[in-house]
Amino acid sequence: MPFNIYQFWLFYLVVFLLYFRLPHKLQNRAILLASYVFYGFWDYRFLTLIAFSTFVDFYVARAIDRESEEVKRKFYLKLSLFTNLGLLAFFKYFGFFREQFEVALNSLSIPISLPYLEVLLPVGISFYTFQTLSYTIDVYRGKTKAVDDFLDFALYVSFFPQLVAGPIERSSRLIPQVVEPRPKSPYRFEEGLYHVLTGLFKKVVLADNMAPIVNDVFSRPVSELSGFEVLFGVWAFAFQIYGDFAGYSSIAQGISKWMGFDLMWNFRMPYLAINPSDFWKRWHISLSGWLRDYLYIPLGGNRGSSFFTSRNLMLTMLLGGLWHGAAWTFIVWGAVHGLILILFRYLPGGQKDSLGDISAPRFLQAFIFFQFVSLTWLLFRAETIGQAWEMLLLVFSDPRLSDFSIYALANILFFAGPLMLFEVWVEKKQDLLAFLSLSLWPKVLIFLYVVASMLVFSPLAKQDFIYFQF
Amino acid sequence: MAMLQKKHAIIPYLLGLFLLLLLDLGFSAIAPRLSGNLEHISLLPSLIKKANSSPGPKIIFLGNSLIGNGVSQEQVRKELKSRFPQTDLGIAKLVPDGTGVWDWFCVFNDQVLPRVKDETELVIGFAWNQLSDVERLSSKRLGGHFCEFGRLEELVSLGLTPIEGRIDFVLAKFSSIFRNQELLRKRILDLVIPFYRDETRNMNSRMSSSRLAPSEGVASAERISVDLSYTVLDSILAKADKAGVRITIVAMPILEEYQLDPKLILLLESRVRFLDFRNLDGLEESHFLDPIHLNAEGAKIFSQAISTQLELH
Repeated sequence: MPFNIYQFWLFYLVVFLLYFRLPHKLQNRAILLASYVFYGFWDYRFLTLIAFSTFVDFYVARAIDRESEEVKRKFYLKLSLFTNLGLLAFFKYFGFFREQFEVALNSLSIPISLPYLEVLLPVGISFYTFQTLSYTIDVYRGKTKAVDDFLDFALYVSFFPQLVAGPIERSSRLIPQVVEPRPKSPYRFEEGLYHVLTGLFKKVVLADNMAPIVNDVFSRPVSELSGFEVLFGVWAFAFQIYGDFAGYSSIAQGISKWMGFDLMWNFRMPYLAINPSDFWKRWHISLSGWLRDYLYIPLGGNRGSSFFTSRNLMLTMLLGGLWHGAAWTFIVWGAVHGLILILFRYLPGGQKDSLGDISAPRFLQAFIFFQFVSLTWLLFRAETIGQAWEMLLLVFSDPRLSDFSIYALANILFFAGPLMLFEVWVEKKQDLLAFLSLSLWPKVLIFLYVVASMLVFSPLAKQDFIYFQF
Repeated sequence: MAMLQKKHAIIPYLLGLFLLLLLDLGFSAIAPRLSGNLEHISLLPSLIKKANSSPGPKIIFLGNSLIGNGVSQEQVRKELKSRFPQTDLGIAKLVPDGTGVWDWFCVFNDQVLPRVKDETELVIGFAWNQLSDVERLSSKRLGGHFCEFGRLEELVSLGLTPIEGRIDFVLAKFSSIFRNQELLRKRILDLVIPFYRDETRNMNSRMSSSRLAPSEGVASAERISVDLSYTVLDSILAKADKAGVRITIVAMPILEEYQLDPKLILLLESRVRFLDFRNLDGLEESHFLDPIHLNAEGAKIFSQAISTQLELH
């Protein structure tokens, strides 16, 4: 049940009204039930998968917590890793690896035809698998205590606002909010509303209006395009994917806030980043943090030589790319980001943190770095690496301004411009919730602009959220 | 103190909603002046009333711009006058743009039927699958422009999606901005986006041709080879029958030939007078304004043809 349909809001209203009539424990049970209804909306068969994953991790974590012998603790951890990553590998990557294996054998003149399985990708499997894995690893590392109540743990795994597209919450943040009674705050309504409205605006006004331009550019033969059409097409995609994904995270944050849950910020003005490490502190923060803590650092992080640090960065980004989907385009996308991260390590100021810097040259740097990020999105959106490569070459070889490129640019400026100006203002204020401190009339006018834009500029046909496919 | 802050927190948003309400009211007052189509929609009751004021038989043309462009009221009046000299004819054209059978269902039920008098002939013009249940269903348009509020249940029973459709219907009933979203959106983007109309049209045609690529060159009715249903049309016919309204249905001529669903032809031939004017004698390419709309000369030919077929009560 995506957030941009009426059914979801009716569903949420029922949950919300019920929620505040219940004591804490029953609140948890009600949200758990709601979460399973929410997830079952896509396909009730996937419920068995999430229930199985919950069951395994609950008992494995308790066994790890109870066990003092390291060998046994490791065994239980491996059992959890094997189960979760095995499910993920089967549902998400089986078809891809089967195909690659077959191609590899055929190229070695070993003709083989491996069995083909039609496997449906369960919505959000990558998100909840990483969330539940982080729990077991944290229990193993002694950072988190195993949860005593199975249903509380089931709620941690399946909490519906962030179940299918994140943010990927850590057990140390979310579990205490599940287990302990949640405090009521007078600011919760306004903060929640701010998240919900900005999220809906990003999805409905920004992402969905970029979608037709993106679809058009990426579905036309490259020979029919000009360099600027590709460039603005990929800018449009940059804003589409940002609006779509950050919008979802923001709505998740808002509806959780109304129920007293405090979810993490998953995006912090990512297109104002000035270098790759800055970017990954702002884009899909919950995933980059996960990859850092559970992959990059265990691989050795930056503790060894430059070579080992570069290797660790590359491996982390490759797996980050693969996390997004079973396709070479995602793997190469990850590799390119890994390469950019490595290259910037050797540039003077290449890892500088931009937070707090509100000078004009810093925003110019951000605009330049946005071009890097945009061009890597070519890989993310293209059907094949060949298509992405041809489009990239065209950007530099055929800089022609056509009517369509001007049309695309004007759309980007009209729909993304005001949001970017707002984000620059928030960046300057160095307060993600600066809007809430505005005086009456600026607040009224911005609110009016956001709601009126959603009324007038929402797409005539509803568009799905992109990140559900991951 | 916390309670006080909580109350204050909501004030900007209530004020914002109040301003939005004022904007909406202001927009509803000027909306008919923003487009000829909206003006036409706002005039539907008076057009029917005017036709009804005539003491003789009434002919109401119902459809979209196909029949809007195709029928010349003057020509129809002239032709029928020559055939029935004693009659004082009342004619109305109810032809809002981009409409289909769902809209006509509401116009018929909520505009025509309550005002219907004896001797009324209803002529519905259509092309392609515009009479089928799957075509041009917009609950926003139904709620906003053509249906009374009480019609909602019946629409749902006919196939309007239960939740999304109902909410769009209700919102469109109450918010002028919401019901005129498409027009407002186009007007604003036309002002601020260079080449908006042309490039949007180009983009849409590229996208639809890539979607329909496998069956390129095939007429639209053949492209939609799914089993079409006609529940809404059936309901119009049943109600017209009950109210004593005689119905003529016309398959309109357009430049490119199109196929009709054999099931529809069977239904029409058994229930109403069906005029198949897809290949009307005398119409040539020069009689079309564009690939689908007749020009004044074409309208004259079409009106003559239809007038010879109409039997007044």
